[in-house]
Amino acid sequence: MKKSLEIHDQLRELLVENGASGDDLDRFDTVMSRRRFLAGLGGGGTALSLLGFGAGAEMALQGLFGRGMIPAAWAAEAEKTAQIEGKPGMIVHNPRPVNGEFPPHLLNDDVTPTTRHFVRNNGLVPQRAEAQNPQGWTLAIEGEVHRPLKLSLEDLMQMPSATYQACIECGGNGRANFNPPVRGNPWDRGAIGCSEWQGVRLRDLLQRAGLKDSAVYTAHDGEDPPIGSAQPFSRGIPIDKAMEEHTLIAYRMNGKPLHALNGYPVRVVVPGWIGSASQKWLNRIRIRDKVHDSDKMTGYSYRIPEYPVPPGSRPPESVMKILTAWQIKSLITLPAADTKTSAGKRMAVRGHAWAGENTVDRVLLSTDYGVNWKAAKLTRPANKYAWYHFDSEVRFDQKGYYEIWARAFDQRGNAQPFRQPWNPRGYLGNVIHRVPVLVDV
Amino acid sequence: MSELPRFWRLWPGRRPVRARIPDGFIAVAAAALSVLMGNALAAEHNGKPPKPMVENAPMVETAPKKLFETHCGVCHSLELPRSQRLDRNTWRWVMDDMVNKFGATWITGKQQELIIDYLTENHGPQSP
Repeated sequence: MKKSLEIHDQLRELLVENGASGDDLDRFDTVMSRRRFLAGLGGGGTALSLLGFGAGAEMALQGLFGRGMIPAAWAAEAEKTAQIEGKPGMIVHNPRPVNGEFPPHLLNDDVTPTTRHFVRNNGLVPQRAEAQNPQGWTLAIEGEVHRPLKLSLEDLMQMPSATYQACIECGGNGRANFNPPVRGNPWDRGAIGCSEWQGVRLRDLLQRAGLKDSAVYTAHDGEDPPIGSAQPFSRGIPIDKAMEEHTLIAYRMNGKPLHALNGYPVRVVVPGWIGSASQKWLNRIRIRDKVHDSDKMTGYSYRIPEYPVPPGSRPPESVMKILTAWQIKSLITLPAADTKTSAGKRMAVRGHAWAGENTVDRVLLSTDYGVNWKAAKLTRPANKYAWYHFDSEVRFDQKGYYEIWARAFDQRGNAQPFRQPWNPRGYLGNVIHRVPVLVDV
Repeated sequence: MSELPRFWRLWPGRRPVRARIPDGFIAVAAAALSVLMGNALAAEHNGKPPKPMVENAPMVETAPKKLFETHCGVCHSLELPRSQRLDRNTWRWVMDDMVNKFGATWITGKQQELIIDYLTENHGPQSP
């Protein structure tokens, strides 16, 4: 025991010497003190495997320690418990980087509580966010503007603000329903939230900075440390969308400072568009004179082919186009999957519908595999880009296995498909939601 | 184990913040971890007799599962790859991205092939 403590100190010193952040030192201490580090090893854990790198070990570790990080393998155990506070019931696809969603029946609220808003990260959670410390944070607006800005959180909060309910949905929500399976976090249906966001309209900031005629696109940068030697996560939106009145630089979520995992202190909210447009932990917006061309704007990331491709194929990069708005979609939040009931009993059905840049026209329900349909009662959203809610009742007269199906239509007549159209990275999944119900079985 | 203090004496002392990993770090880490673990790793290695840990030549793990856990687990948790059900071409695609975009350049070509074989076999389209 005494010997291990010495080693703990020595390794810790090594980390300090290499510039590890306080954050990483905390993780290291957590791991070592709980001995999870050791416990995990025997079960094929990854920490010990640092020994197995052979000739490449130095390079591998350089990439991590050189940036003041401890290896993921050492940190993962600590993060499993430490980082997911405030999100009880979340289905965690991946603890590092943290990615998690909630099952549909936990998304029944009209306005998604912060505790049930999904988390999608490409990189790590910034130390500032975990500490909820605004000291030293600034937001820079630069690039194709006449008067570059640098604002503190206080500066931002003194500007006129707007408050909207806004759907933020990961572009990969629904990926688990693609066949053949595609790569990426296997989001089922819960990587969406419609919370209330307060912030400054991006257009107010851009007007204050004065857009040059050359302004074409935004590029958003955040404080989240990337993983490995990945390019820092950055995406952007066309100037028209940036100037749309619902596009916010948000500093409050459901009336409170942002949750660490949802972007503290400030994030972009681009409602109706794929979630990656809504950069978290924002600290800079560059106005560009061309379409933003970061790693996550090019190649196959957040892009789909401009025409339908055979399932399982990989079309050339040249036909991939940047994803923007979501499309018509709905979610049954009541009853939960596999709910048991009795013949003749009435059962409430409830859920939400949304349509990206469009409006929801109607939601139809079926309990017989789409043979018969009936319209649910539809409640208008609080504002543009917020959830519509639908309500109905169903009754099953005979025992058996049933499914409740919901199918939403937008004002253009577009409806959710019965089979999931396929694209190589599993984006914009909107196949109809089916909820199994067991009647006297 | 009595060698340990000597490694630490070899440590070159205070360095600028965010310095390169100094030579000899691996040996230090190997020694430190081997103190913690005893010979567990060696014993686990494919049922072969444990090899002595040598200062400057840490054991090179070659079992595909270990390669996968070792190399992929450096940057991200293993839940994500384990949740995937991908064919060989797609695993190749993922590996290429990890090497070219995420900097996992230390994984040799041979190791990449072994990891892809392992993933295709254990996390392929037909896997449970």
